[in-house]
Amino acid sequence: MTSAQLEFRPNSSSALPILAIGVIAVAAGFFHASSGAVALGSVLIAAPLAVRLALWYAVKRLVVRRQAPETAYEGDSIEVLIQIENRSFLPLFFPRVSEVFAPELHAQKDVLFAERVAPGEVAERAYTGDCLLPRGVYGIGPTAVAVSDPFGWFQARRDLEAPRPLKVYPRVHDIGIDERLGERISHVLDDLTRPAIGESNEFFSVREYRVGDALRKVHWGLTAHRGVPVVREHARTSTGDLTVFLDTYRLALTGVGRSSSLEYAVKIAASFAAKALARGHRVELIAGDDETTRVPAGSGSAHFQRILDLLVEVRPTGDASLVEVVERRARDVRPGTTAVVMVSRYLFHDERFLSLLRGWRRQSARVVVVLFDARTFRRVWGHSEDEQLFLDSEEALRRFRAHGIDGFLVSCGAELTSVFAARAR
Amino acid sequence: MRLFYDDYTTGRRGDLLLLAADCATILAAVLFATGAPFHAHESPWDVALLGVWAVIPRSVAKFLEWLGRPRDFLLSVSLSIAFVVAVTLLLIAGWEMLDLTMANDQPMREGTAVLVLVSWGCGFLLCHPRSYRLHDFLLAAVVLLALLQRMPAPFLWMPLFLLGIAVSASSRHLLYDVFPGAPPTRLNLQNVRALGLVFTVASLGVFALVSSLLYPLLDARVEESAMRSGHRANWFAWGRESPSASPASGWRRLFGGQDPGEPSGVDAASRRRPQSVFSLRGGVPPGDDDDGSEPRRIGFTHHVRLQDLAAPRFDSRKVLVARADAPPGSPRSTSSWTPDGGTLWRVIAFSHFDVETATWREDSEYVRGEWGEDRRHRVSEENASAWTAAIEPVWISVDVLLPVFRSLVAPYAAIELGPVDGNRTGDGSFYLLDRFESVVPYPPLEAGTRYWARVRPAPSGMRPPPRGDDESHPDARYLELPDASSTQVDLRATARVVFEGARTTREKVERLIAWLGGEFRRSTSTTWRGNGDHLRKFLVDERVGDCTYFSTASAFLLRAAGVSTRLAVGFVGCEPEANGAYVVRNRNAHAWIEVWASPHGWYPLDPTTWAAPDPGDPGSLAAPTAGSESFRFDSPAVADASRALSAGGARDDESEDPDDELDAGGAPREPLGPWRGREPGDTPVDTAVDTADDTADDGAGGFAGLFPDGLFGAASGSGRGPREPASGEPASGDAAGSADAASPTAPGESSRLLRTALVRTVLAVLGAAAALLAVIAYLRPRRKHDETETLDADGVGAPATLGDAADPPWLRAPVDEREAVLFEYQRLQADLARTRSHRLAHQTPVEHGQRFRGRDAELEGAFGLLHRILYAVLYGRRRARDADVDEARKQCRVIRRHLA
Repeated sequence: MTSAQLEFRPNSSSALPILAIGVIAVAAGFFHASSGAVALGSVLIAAPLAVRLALWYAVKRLVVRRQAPETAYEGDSIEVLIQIENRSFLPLFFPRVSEVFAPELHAQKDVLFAERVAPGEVAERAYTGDCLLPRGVYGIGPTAVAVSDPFGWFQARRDLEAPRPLKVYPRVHDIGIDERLGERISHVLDDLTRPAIGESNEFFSVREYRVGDALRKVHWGLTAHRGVPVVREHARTSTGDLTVFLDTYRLALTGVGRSSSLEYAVKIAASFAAKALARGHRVELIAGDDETTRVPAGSGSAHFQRILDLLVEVRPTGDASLVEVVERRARDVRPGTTAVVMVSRYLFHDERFLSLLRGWRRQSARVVVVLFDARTFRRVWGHSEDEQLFLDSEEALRRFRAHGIDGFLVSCGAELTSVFAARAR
Repeated sequence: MRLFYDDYTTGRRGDLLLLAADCATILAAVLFATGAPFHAHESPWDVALLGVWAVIPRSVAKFLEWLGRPRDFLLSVSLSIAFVVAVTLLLIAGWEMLDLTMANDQPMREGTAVLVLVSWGCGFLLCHPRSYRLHDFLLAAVVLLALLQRMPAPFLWMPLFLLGIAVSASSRHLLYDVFPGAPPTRLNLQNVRALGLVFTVASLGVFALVSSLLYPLLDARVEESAMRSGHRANWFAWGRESPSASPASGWRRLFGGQDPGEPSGVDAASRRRPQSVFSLRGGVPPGDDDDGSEPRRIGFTHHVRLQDLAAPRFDSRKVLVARADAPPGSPRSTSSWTPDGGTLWRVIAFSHFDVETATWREDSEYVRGEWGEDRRHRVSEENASAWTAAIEPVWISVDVLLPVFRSLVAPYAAIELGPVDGNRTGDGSFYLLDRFESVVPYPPLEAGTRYWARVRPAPSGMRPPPRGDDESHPDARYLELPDASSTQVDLRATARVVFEGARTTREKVERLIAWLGGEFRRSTSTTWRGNGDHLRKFLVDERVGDCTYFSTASAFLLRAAGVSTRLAVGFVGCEPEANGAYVVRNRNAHAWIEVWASPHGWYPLDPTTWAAPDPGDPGSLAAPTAGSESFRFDSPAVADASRALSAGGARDDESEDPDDELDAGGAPREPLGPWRGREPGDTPVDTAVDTADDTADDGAGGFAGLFPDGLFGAASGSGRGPREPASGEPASGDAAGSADAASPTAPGESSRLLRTALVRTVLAVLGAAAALLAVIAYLRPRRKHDETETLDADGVGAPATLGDAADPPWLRAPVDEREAVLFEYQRLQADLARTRSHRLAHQTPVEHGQRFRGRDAELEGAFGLLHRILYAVLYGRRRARDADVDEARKQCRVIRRHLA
C-alpha cells in the first residue's frame, strides 16, 4: 500500500495565473519604464511565493498523531482520533488529514480541521471506521496531511507514516442461552466440573498436616481429638477444558469468502472459546498439525487474545485432513474435557473419524461436532451427489448422535446464536 | 485589535462575501482602466452607472447559480432566453455607455473599451470554480494595462483590487475547496476578512516600496525613451490618433476609427476625444492633386470646444520642445531668439462659432505655398503679413511629443518648415503653410519627430495694430455674428456702446482694451457656463471669465463693429530647460483673437491680458509687466522689428498713443503678456512647484496634493489624469516632472526633488511598516482562554484547570475514571470555545445548556445529564465508574453532533 492511493482534490484556485501575470507585469514594466507595472508584478510574484514559503515551512513542522485501537471485531465501528500539533510559528488553515482505513473496503478517510490551527496549538478530530471486511490483519494508513494556504493557491502535502496494522478478529457470537430465563447456562460446559482436590470453598476431606500447609486450613477441633495436626482439603475449582478442532484442510473448504465453512468455523471457535473462557475454563485451539497452528490450553483474557490471533491467521491451506490432526492430537482431549470438532462433508461418513470420536467418548470426554450443511454451502471441490447432500448431512448428524456425540448442523446464512440456542432448549 | 476569530457562519453569507469581493475586483479594474471618476466633466451619476453596469454580470451569474438548474424544461429554456436577452441588452447598454463616454471627450479609447469589456465579461466566469483562474488572470491583466497606460490614481484602486483578489480567493477556497456544498456548512468568515486585510496591507506595502524605488529609474526615462524610439512608448495607445505606422492603427480600423485620409468626418471626429484641448481634422478634397508642385487647396474642418479651453487643464504633459537651431545647410540666424512667457504658439484659427455647441470651427482659408525640392514648404510671398516683414526670421527645431496634433504648433509667424528626417514622412507627404500662418501637415505629425521651421517671432503682447486702410477682410465669414436670440445678448448694441466714436480698427481695439480692462476680471477658476447664455452671463452679469470668454466676446464685439476677427487657439508661454530648449505643456493652452488690419494682414491680440486678475481667484496670476524677466527679448532683431513696426505706426499717426511703441528693451510698458505671467519683482516661476500645485488641484482630488507625482494622480503619467492623453504618452507629466527634477538649473527643482524623495521615502517606510505589522498580526496566535476556575471544590488534590488550550491535559491518559470524565468535559469545553455562542467563560454544563433552554430540548438535556455526571464525580462522595465515563462520552458526542 503506497501513499499514492490517497487522493486529494486539487484546489479550485491556482497561483500559476497570478505568477504568470506577475512575470508579464515585471517584464512589461521594465520594457515600458512603468514603475507601477513593476510594482504590481512584484506584488503578484512576491505574494504567492511568500504564501508558498510560509506554507512549506508550516507544514514541515506539523506533527500528526493517531490514536486508534489495535484490534477490533468484524462489524465493529472504531473511532480513530487524529491529533495535529502546529509546531511552527505560522498558523495553519484548514488542514486535512487523510488516510486509508483498510477494514472499511480500503476507504479513504478525510479529517478536516475546519479551523485555524494557531502556532503551538494542538487540535484533534476523530473519524469512525467500520470494519466491514472479514477477519484479518489490515492497516490504517498510509496517512498524509494536505494543507492549503488560506487563499487556496497552493496545496502542500506531506506523507506521514507507514500503515499501522489493525487486527480484525472474527465476530464472537453469544452461543449460550439466555441467562435471564433461568435455564441451564450451557449445555456444553456446565457438566464439565469433576470432583478433585482444589482451592474451592467446598469441603472435600481431611488429612494429616504436611509441611507447607497453610495454618488457616488446620482443623483445630479434629487435631485436638486425634492428637496430630489435621488439615482440611477442599474440592478443586472446576476446570473443565475445552479443545476446539478447526479443519483447515484445503479439501474441506466449502463456500466462498465470508460464506465459507471455514469462516463459520472460525466464528464458532471464537464464540465457544469466549464463552468457555468467560466461565473460567481452559481452552485449547488446534487448527493444524503443527505447533504454529495450535494454542495450548490456557485461560484468561490474554489467552483469548492468543486464540483470536491464531484465528485471524487461519487459512484453508492445510495439507492434513482433520482425521490426521485428530489422530495426532487425540491425547490432548483428556477425560472430563470437551472437544468441539468442526466437520465438513468429507468426514460425514468417515468411519475412522467416527471411531476417534467414539474413543474420546469412551474416555468420558464430551464430544461436540459441528456439521456444515453441504447443501447450503457453495461447492468448491467437485461433489457429484448433490441430491443426497441434505440427506447426507441429516443422516450424518443422526449417526453422530447415535454414538453419544452431540452435534449441530450449521447452514450457510444461519444465525449462530439461534442455531446453538435452539439445540440447547 | 483582535484580527483573527474562529467564528462560523453559514455558506450563504460566504456567497455574499464572495460576490462582494468579485464585484469589488471588477469595479476596481473597470474604474481604474477608464479613469472615469477623475474626468473633469464626468458626472458622478455616470460614474455610478458605469460601476453598477460593471458589476451586473457577476450579480446575475451569482443569482443564476443560486437559482440552480431548474428541472422544468420550459423554465430552463425561458431562463436561458432571458439570460441571453439580458446579456445582449447589457452589452448594448455598455457599448452605448462607453460610446457616450467617448463622446464626452473622456479618455475612453477603443483599447480601454476592450479592457472594460474584458473586465465586465469576467463577471460571467462562474461556470466552474476553476474559471476563477482565468478570471484572476484577466483582471490582473486589465490592471496591468491600465498601469502601463498610466491611468490615474493607482494607489486609490490598488487597495480595492488587491482586497477583492484576496477576499475572493480565500472565500472561494472556503466555499469550493474546504467546504464544498457551502450553504448548509458553517464557514469561518472572520479569517477571510482578516486575511484579505493582511494581504492587502502587505501587498500595498510592497507595491509602494517597489514603485517608489523604481519610479526615478523607470518613469523618468519615458520621455527620453519616447524621443529615442518613437512609437515604442506609444504602443499601448490603442485607438489613439497615432501614426499609421503605429500598431495602434489595427485597433483603430477594427473599431471603426477614422482613417487620417478620410475627408471631413466631422461627426466621427466629434465623437473622438481630442488628446489635447484641440481637435483638428482635415483631409484632401477629392480631385486635388498632391504632387506638391502646385499651390495646395486643402479643405479643412477644424473645431475647438470652448469647454476644453475653459476646463481646468493643469496638464503637465509636454506638447513640444522647441529650441533655436538651424538645419544643416541653412544659414544660421545672426540672432538667437528666446521665447518667453508671452509667446503665442498658434495652432489654428477659426471663423465660425456654433452657439449651440459652443464650438469654433471652419477656418477654410485655402492654403497657398510652394513645395521645394528640399522637401520644405515655403509660404508664398503674397501670403506674408506685412507687419512681420521687418522681423528677422530665425530657425527653430520643434520636437513633437504628442502624436495627436494635426497641425504643427509654431510661434508667429512661420515661413517654411519641414521634417528633419524626410524619410519619416514617406512618399507624398507634404506640409503646407497657409498665408495666415496655419500649418497644415498631411499626414499628421508624428510623435517623436523633430521638425525644422523658420519663423518670424513676434514680440509678446501685441499692441493695437498699426493704422491702415481699415478695410474689412474679403471673406465675409469673419464678420458673422450669432443671432441675438441664441446668444441672449445684443452684441451690436453692446458694440455701439463700447466703440462709440471709434472709427478705425486701431481705435476700436483701444476702446475694447479700455472697456475690458476697466470692468472685467480674468479668472482661471471660471466654470464654463454653457446652455447658450454664456456670452450674456459674461458680458452682462458676471464679467469674469477666462481666455475663451475674453477671446470669444472680443471677436464678436469687434465683428459687430465691422472689424474682421477670428479666434486663434494654441499655447502661450513656455518653460526653459537646462539644455536650452523650451517646453510647451498642455496647460499652456490658450485662446486669443486675430484682427484683420488691412493691409498688414492678421494681427494677433490677447484680450485676456487686458483685464485685471480676479482677486478672488487663487489661480489667477498677475500679468507681467515690462522689464520683467519673463518678457526679456534677447533677440535684437525682434526688438528692432518691434521698433520698426512701432515706427511704421508712428508714420501713420505720430501723435497717437505712445502705447504703440515698445521700450528700448523690446518689452511692452503695460501689462500685456500671458495671463499666467508674473508681476514684476515676483519670484521667478518655479515650474515644478507650479506643476505640483496644479496636480493637487486636478481631478485626482485631495489625494494628489498629499503625494508627489506618480503616486495618486501623477503615477498615471499626468497630474491631470484622464484629461490628458494617458495611454503610453511619452511625455507624461511625471516624466516631465522627473526630467525637471533632474535639471540642476531649473528653479525650485532641488526643493521639489527633496520633497519628492522625502515623501517617497516616508511612503516606502510606511508601506514596509504596514507589511510588517500585517505579518505580525498574521502570526499572532489565537487568544488563550483564561478561565482558571476549578471544578474541584472539595479542595483535595490539585485543582483541575479548564480550557488551557496550550497544554491540553486530556492528551495524557487519565489515571482513573474521575479524571476520564473530567477530560471528556474539558475536551468538550475546548470544542465549545471555538464557537461563537460559547466563547464566553461558561464553566458548567448547566451554564452551557441554559443557552438552549426552550430552543433545543435534546441539547439542553444532554448538558443536564453531563452536568449531573460531572457533579457526582467531582463533588459527590461516590467513586466514578466506567459507566460514568461512558455516559459522559455519550452526552459529549450528542452535544458535538448538535453543534456540528
